Amino acid sequence: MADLGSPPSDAHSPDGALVRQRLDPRSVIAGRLGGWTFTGVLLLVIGGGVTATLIGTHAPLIWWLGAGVIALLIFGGLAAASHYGPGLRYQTTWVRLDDDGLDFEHGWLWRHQISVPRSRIQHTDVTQGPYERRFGLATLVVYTAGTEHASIPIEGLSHQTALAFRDALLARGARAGDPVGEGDAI
Amino acid sequence: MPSELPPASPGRSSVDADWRRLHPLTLVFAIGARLYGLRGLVLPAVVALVVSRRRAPTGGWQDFEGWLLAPAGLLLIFELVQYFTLAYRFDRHEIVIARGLIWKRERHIPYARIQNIELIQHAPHRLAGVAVVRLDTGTGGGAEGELSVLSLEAVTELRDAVRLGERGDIVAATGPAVTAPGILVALDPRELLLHGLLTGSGWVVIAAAFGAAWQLDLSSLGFSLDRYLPSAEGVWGGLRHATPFVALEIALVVGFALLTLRVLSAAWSAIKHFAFTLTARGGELFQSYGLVTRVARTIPRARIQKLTVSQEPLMWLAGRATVTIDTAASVSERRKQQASEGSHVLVPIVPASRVASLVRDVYPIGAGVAPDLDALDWHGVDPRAFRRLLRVRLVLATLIGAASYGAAHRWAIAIGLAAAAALTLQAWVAARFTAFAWSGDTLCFRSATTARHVTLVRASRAQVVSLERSPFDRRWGMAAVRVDTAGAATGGHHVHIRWLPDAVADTLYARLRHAAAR
Repeated sequence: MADLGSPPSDAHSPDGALVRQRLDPRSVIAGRLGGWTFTGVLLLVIGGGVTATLIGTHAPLIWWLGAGVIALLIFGGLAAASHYGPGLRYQTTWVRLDDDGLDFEHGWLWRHQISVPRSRIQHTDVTQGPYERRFGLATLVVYTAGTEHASIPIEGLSHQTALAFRDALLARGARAGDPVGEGDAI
Repeated sequence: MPSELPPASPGRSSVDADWRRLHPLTLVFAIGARLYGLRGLVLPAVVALVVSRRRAPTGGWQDFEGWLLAPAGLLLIFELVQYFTLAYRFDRHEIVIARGLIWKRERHIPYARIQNIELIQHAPHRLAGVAVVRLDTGTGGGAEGELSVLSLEAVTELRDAVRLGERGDIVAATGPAVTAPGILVALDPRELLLHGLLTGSGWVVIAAAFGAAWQLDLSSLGFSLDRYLPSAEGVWGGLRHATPFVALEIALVVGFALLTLRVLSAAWSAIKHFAFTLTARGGELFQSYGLVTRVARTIPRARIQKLTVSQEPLMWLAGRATVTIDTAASVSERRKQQASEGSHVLVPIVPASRVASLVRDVYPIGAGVAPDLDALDWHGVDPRAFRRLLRVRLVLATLIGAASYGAAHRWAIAIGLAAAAALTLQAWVAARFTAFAWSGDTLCFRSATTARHVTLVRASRAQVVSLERSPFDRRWGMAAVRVDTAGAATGGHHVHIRWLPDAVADTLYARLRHAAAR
């Protein structure tokens, strides 16, 4: 993949905002590796189990054929999702930070645009799985006091960008509210 | 019952740094609660003991029954340690609760973070003049500070400390400017009975009764239930063979059961909400009700996350409404209690004409202009919404008709038509009634299925704003806007404004985003 060059520079605008940007292109390959690993492990466990059962029970040929077709459908689907999913995610995901807070667009069939005001962020996590570490990527998780969107994970950012977003989000976090708590998140 | 309001006790500063203990009766209540919690274990043990003693006075395992005192003694020691190691203190900005002998824990709860103070008195508590107090800060993990049990004087002291502490004027607490309490709502027994009659949901009980009757096999009592239940030929077969007489019988039985349940529900509501009052004082709302279990709840107005006015069809016909609120603390509470406990009901029943003024009265002070529900500029959904909904529902009705063919044969067409009519009506109501409006910084959203709901969310309490487009939305050029709030209960009325024209949704999203961030 020739397009997996350096991560996009975090174009900072003066007031701590971060321009609308895509995920790190390396997230495509990392996502694929993750998906393939998952598919592979599943194939090994379930495929192994089913094969052993078929051999052990001296199953007739038709059973072998049936199991093969089902396996092809399931694992073919999984493999396709693993292969094309990360690309679609890359194409459809945008993150931006402006005066009104974090704006996160994602979803291919179901498009979602989610906005979190800075003062509503309770805390954030930056996590890195093994593949993410290998490719210098990270997942930024934003926690709010909300119910449905209590946590908003943003996968596939470069580690550097995730940290930049985290710092920018928390820099001007909760403003000092009046004593009755008007300025609080809840 | 205004006399139950906590006195404001001006002139006395309850804030000092002395450690305080719980009420000495704590021991009794703690052991009682523990035994009640272990009743599944304790009761059979006691029964076994009594029975075995009767059967053989000596020589059995009951010779060792003295050992049973060991766990009881341990329990007593444990509770004693708990009692003597738990202490609380009012600091300048926080309440400090210290507990533990070996693993010491000191919890600091800032007054300003307390979402609500709840006072619960079950019947034994009321007899002893004590109460359980819960301090909620809305972390979702349940009550962060539970003080069980406190004397009523200690409760007053605690409330004062929190109230003064929240305002941050503890040092100058010589004469707190507490405004005179105003009773917003006081419900008389008549209204409460009406509430029970109008909202009684008896289907669960009916189903349970049928289940129990089935188990008990009433035929041995000369009562054959089989006549009313699906026969071996299936429901339809059974109904086909039903005579008009049996149908009348069923109607009478069901009608009688429904009526009984409504009456029971009315009585329950009158007992549960007995002497209901909602009082406003300064930045707080004070709720007090209950005949057997007395609940007194303090809710800071600024902590109301969302307010919903609901009208079930019967309530609507009677010109009444229910007002519910979400506080950030209420979710964990409700998870513990039964859903019917309704810890989030602000006012169970109020005349619809009074709702607008009530909403104004509970609106936080200093948070801008309160919305005027009577004069809102409602923006409806896309005019094509009805067509879109109808299309889906007609397909659904066709499927229902087709699916019932196997059982109902020639009646399938009638069933399909009835489903189509009902669904069309539902689509029309949904498309017609769903709307949103802005009033100052408050977003108002209304929608209807069978019940009508109007929900108000202040922009400063919107946690997350989202704009959603499903593939169907994209095809119709529509979008949905959703506002997520803290403490939103499952099954509650949430702000999810669907079927908006693309441009309107984009504008609303941008405006909400901006308003929420301010």
